[in-house]
Amino acid sequence: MSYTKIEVHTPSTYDEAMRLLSEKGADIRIVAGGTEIMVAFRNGLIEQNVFMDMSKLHELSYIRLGDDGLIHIGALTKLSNCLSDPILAEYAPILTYAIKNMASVQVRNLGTIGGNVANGSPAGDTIPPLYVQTSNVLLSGVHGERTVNIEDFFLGPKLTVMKPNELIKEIQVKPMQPDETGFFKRLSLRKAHACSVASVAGWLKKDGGNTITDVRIALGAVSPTVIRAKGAELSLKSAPFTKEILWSISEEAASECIPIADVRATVEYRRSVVAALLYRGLLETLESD
Amino acid sequence: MSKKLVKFRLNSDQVSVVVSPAKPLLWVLRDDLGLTGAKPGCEEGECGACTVLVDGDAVNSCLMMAVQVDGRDVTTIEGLATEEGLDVMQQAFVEVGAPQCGYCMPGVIMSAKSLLARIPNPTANEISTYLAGNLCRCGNYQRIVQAVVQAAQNAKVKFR
Repeated sequence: MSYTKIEVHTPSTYDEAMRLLSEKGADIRIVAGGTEIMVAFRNGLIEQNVFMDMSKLHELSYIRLGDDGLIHIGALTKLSNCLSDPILAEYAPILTYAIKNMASVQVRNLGTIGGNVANGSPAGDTIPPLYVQTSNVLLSGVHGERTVNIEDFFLGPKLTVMKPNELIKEIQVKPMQPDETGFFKRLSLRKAHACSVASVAGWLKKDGGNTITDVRIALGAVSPTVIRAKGAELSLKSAPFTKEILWSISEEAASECIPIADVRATVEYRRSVVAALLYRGLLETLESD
Repeated sequence: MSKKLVKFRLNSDQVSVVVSPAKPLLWVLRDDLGLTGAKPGCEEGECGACTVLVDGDAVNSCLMMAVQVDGRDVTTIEGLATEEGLDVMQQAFVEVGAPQCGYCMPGVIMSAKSLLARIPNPTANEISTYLAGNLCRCGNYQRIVQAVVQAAQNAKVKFR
């Protein structure tokens, strides 16, 4: 590691950041919380030597309910601030729950929600909740702003549709309604402070009885990007809920992912974990009503 | 490449250093400012041995670039004791005998300080959850939890 060759720009306003991006484009690497970049950098995995440190850009740290009915989360909002936010606690409980179990206090005090999304890891724990609650990524570039559905944002591991001269301005999340419910389940090699082996987020809407009228399921860390389990979603909409049926639908979801084998788990194990996590999540959510 | 002037408050004193801007705060503290309390362990945000407080929040100093603390308030383990003696948290760790090898202690104590600032009377469960980012390779977790409980009690007596 040689931080002596590194040049760091610290814009103090959003306009200044945009100007730097338009001037330096592909040569500049954005540092939000820095929790991924500092490690990658130390391991010699960063090619750029010009960084843009966003720590003084307080303009992009906010959480508010907009007139458009969406929750707007500034990209530079720290994970710890997301965790203590009353709006997210009420309207995005799946996300809040996922963040509660992410990393450690020290890392959540540095890491940002925009950074977790931009990093593009299929194991990023904020991403499955954002998928199931329906979210957009607001990108800002030299040529203006554009909104991308979060499901279209990722192209592969650490690959996104972001252009070199773009940054994430905010994440927009559709608030949960009182008749909606959900869950987030993850397995990691230890409970706290470890990368997910697999994770499952679920969002459900039911009629007065126990029939699911709408459902979304997202699987994390088991495909090149976070994915929806659309086959399982469809099966859930028409099914009466016995434990046997829920288990077979959970196995169906597991068959929809394309996991890799790595230091944390084998392909087979990841599939089994996906089925188990989804089964538990569904069972707990349906039994709790 | 060009070094940068970084100014911040460190343990109540104003300091300024001229350093490579991406140099981790941990190494600025140790090399440039001579404070070796914060410890290098994993240097990738896993072990918590390098924990310091920035604006009152516990962070891994190995994961922060020097420029990121410009204008902010940093507290390290060296900033806790006063002329009157040890900080209530340090005192409790001594009383309970929490340190074995002691390497993780500065980080654990800084995390514990930030916990008590938020939750003055934490349960054992709250303590171990909050301290999940601090690894103790000696495995003395029981006494670490005991020490934080003791510090909370001592703090209450002190302020009464």
